[in-house]
Amino acid sequence: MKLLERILALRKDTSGSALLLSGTMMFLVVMTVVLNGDMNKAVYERIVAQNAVDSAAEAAALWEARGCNVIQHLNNIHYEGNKILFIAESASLVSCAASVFSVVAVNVAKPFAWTSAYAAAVVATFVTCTLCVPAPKIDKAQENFAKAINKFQEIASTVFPILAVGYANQLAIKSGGDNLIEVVPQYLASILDAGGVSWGGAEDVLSNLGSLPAPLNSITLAAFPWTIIGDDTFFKLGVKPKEGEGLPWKTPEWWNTMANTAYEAGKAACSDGWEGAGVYQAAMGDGADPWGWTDKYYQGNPGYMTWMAGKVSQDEVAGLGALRWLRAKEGATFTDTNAMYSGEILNPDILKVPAFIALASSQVEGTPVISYTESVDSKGKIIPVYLPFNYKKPTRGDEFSPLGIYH
Amino acid sequence: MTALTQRCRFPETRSGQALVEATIGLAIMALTWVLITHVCYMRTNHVRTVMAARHAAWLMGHKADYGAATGSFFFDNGVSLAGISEQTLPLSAVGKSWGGSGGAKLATVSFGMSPDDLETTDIFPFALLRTEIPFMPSMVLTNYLSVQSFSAWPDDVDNTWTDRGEALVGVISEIVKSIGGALEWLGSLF
Repeated sequence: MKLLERILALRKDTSGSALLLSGTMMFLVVMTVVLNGDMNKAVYERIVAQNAVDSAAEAAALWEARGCNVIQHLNNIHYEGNKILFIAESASLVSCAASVFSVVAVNVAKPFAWTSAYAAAVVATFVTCTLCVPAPKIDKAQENFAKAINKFQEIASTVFPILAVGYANQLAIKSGGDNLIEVVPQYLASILDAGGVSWGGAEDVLSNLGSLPAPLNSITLAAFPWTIIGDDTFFKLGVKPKEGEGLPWKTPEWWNTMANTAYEAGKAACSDGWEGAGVYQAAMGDGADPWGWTDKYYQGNPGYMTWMAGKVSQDEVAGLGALRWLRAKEGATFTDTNAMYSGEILNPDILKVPAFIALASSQVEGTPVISYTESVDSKGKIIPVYLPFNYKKPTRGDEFSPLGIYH
Repeated sequence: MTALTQRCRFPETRSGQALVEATIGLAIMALTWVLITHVCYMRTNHVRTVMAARHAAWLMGHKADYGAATGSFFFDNGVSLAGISEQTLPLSAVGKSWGGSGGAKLATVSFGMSPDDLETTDIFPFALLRTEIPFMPSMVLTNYLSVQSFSAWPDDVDNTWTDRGEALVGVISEIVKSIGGALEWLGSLF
């Protein structure tokens, strides 16, 4: 009887209720803090993703700028080399022309072979003919020089974008970026999930990664360029060969004609008609075919690039994301008659910090690649993000775009 | 005798009940408050470390003075708890690098203190962790006294080979680094 009375008395007993209330309050406070921690973690991951893509974009811009400068240096070397070779070839051809007169002088002075005038004419002929000999070789050397320079430029315009992609990827990895092969499916899945569409694509892609052959499965792709690097091809710098106009890129037609005439006349004079002709018969070969040159140099500058990096989905801070009541929309079985939840405690669809993708754009600023300049000054620069649907391609001097997004 | 016994017995009242509950409840609340304060403080500063690391790495890449980089990201009382370390990572476009020349600057920003420092500190909220709350366990979160983040930036980012000699040396160096890195990578596959 006493026990029953004591049990019934408990209904009116309020002792301990304050402790219960404070404990409940503490639990709610702790849960709030845990969710706050989740938000904090999401912000952290988003910043890491942005850091990764920023460093990737900067690295890519750096290597594109270096590529532009290397190509500009080669343009300059080409220009300066052409100038020197043009002067040398012109001097040689002038000697060819002069040799005609000196041979005539030798023949005129021949009856007076003992005179100093004759000796001077012979020396002059010897000098002019000797200087005439290398004219076609200089022309050929110029041709090979131009070919070599253009080849280096072609290689540079291909290799530097690859270096840009490689370094961008490495910098994104070092900055904490995750493999986009994992990030992108997770990101798309989370977007679809938010729209009420369930997609197992993430799991499918991730499970298939394990079956990729080595070494493909060991490659981490932490940064990827959304936009093309060059103007019209993916792995090309935005510079193209252009036919030069005017000296020293292109020798004038009259100069080419004069060169042919001067050399043929010099060759005829030097290798025949005077005492020393035998020396030059073998030395003076055929003339250049054709004389002169029309060279190409590289011109242009890279377009902008938009890069992508990201972070994979993370577990929620305290591992509470698996609790079904934190994500009760699926599988909840609350009813009017059964207010208590009676299903599984844990939810297979775990609440997680979502995957993040960040974007950054960059471009090369400074003097674009031109035929010749003393200021080789290309620099990389991070610019507002230009998404692919912005069809107004930014031009030099653009600081803001209506559709550009600053980060 | 009966009267004496009755006087010595505890009275059948609830005086003191609230006091006991308040003692325990306040202790729990104090413990929770201290831990929450510390955790929130550290998590906030964790985010600050990653922002500071990005800024410091950017300065390192530009060969600028990065010593004051943390000043912009932490409150006054936190600046003294933040530290920056610089590391030059040998890097090539294929990852590893031959020759050990720099390819990236890695800035690591840490915030917090060691358990040894905690014993003497009076900096809020670390000093709170030393408080001994009655009935409650120790609050020293030894594995959460410091946080750190890192960020990388291209090394020597202002050097775009504007000088012809620099370009020549840079190209040769890059060829050696890339070939070496590729060979090293291929070697690691077998």
